[in-house]
Amino acid sequence: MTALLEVRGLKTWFDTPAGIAKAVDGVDLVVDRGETLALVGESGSGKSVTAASLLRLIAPPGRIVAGEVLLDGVDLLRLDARALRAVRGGRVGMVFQDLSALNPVETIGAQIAEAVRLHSPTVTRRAAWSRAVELLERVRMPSPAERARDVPHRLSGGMRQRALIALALACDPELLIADEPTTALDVTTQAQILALLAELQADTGMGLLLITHDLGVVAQVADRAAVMYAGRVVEEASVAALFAHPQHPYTAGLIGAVALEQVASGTRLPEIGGTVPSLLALPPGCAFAPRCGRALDACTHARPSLQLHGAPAQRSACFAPLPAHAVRLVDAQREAA
Amino acid sequence: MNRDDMVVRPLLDLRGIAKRYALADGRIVHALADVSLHVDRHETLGLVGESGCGKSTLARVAMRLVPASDGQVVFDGDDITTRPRRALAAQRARMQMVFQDPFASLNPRLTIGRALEEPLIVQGRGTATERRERVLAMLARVGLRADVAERHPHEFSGGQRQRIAIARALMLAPELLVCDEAVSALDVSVRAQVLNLLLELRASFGLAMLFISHDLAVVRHMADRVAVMYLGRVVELADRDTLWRTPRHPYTQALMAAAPAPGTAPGRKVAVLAGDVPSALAPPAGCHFHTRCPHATDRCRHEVPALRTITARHVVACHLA
Repeated sequence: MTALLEVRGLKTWFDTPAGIAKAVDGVDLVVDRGETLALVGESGSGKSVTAASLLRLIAPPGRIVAGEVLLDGVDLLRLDARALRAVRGGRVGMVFQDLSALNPVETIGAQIAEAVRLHSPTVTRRAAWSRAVELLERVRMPSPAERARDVPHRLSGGMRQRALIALALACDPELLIADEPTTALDVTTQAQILALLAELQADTGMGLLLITHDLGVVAQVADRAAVMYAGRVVEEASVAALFAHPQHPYTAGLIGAVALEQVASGTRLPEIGGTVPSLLALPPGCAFAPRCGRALDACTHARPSLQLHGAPAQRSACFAPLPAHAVRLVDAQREAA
Repeated sequence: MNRDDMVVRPLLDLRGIAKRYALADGRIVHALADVSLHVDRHETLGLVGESGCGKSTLARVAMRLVPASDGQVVFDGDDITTRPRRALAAQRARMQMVFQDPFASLNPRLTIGRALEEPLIVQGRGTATERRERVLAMLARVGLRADVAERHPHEFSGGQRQRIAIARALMLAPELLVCDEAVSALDVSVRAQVLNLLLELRASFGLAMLFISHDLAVVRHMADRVAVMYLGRVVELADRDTLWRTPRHPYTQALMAAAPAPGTAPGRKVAVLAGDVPSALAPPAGCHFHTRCPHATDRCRHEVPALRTITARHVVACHLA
């Protein structure tokens, strides 16, 4: 059976006065129906550019250089403009971090109704409005019929994010792409929105591609995760496997850097030394090698590709992956304390 | 001997602080209501809460960047609440602040060296040569090379800029460092580096800290005591370990349950708190949290709960706790 979404060899580059910034440089991903894949990474890792590339939302100086984005086997990168418009907001819904994606001078009900009619022109205005209220109810908006008549600034951050999700759901998408959907929200509101996304997904069976920098969010909602570093996926695994025995040293470092509760308060945290390399001048080998304590000679001149290393369904791009039985850095520190 | 001399005097003592802002249409924003907190020497007080709870306003009141509407700001026994700005130089040197956005707090036109030297010039300290030496020593202290002094803020990454902001805050060897979301804008790998730097500097400078963050895990790592704020009030205050072992306020409990922890089992069910934080323009009567509290009773809707001592060094503002 074909996957709902399969991305192969995606490359999105940006032409800058200083050279070509390879923001996404060969990304492979699979999202199945009913599954949540988290695409995790720090600033500049290429996760958001990857998300935007899927629906060709890349403007110059950016350009998609290579790859395939197969939605149910159909390559979105080769669709004509008209067919692509039908997919955007149709079979594929999008939710972004930026709450300004809502029109500030139009009621949220009108915006959702418009999205409904855009993809189903035969629906009457009245029916579209009822559908908008229904969608707001579905995303657990308090007093949905009244809120539908509000403009966005009348709503709290959490309610605006609910409205955006309702907008994305207007055409019953098979795939929802959510780029940092809770990053601008407070932690109690974030918990509400994550619970809502999980519930909607269980109801509809849609696939969810969740882009986030927050490993806590990954642990809470994702089935699988792909970790990005400098434009490439460095590890891909079930969330349980990823946290229990990360293979890539970068993944392990990232988990160590956020697992504050595993380190005695006030003591030194495990850190990843150095900084992310410039996308304009990536090292010839593994992009993480200059910061990696396990780097071998090979790592500095050849690029590792995503491969299985013994554990089923866990792949990493590393010549010196951490063995499954390796004691994690943070555990070792705790035992030493 | 005066009785006050018998007890250890806190470095920073905030007494009954209220802050109200009047909007153009006459409505009043109640940003802070009757907040009393102190920070002892060499102690880190953590302040947690969500947007709009008043934690940053409290920091600004403590730093005398904005005036309090009520209450007193006492620094090392000295009431500075209404002291004119020009007479504040001595206190300013002893309390410094690091903000969330280092780019906004560094003048883009000044070299880093000049930005670090500025507080010394303002305070009239040292000769040009001495100041220059202190700048270079401080850069080394925060892990930056000497050539950084000749460069401008835009040439640095977020993490490096935050190191620069920390260096500048420490130029006058303050006793209190107020960190307002100082690591919140940083990527996690950089965040660990900056937190480690703050821990090191805290120990070697003997700093007291008011450490403000929305991130519970970060506050837990940095603070000795922690105050939890909700809609302009302190709802719970305890030693760090006590608070995490036995959170008593339903809001503290909800915050801890909602905070995603990557170390815990994936897919765990998270307790979800209903509703939104009410507006500070019209805070609810009684306990501010009653509109979202799963345990609220009639009393909570009418009577403001006072901060009560539960055990030594653990206070909570809840009728039911």
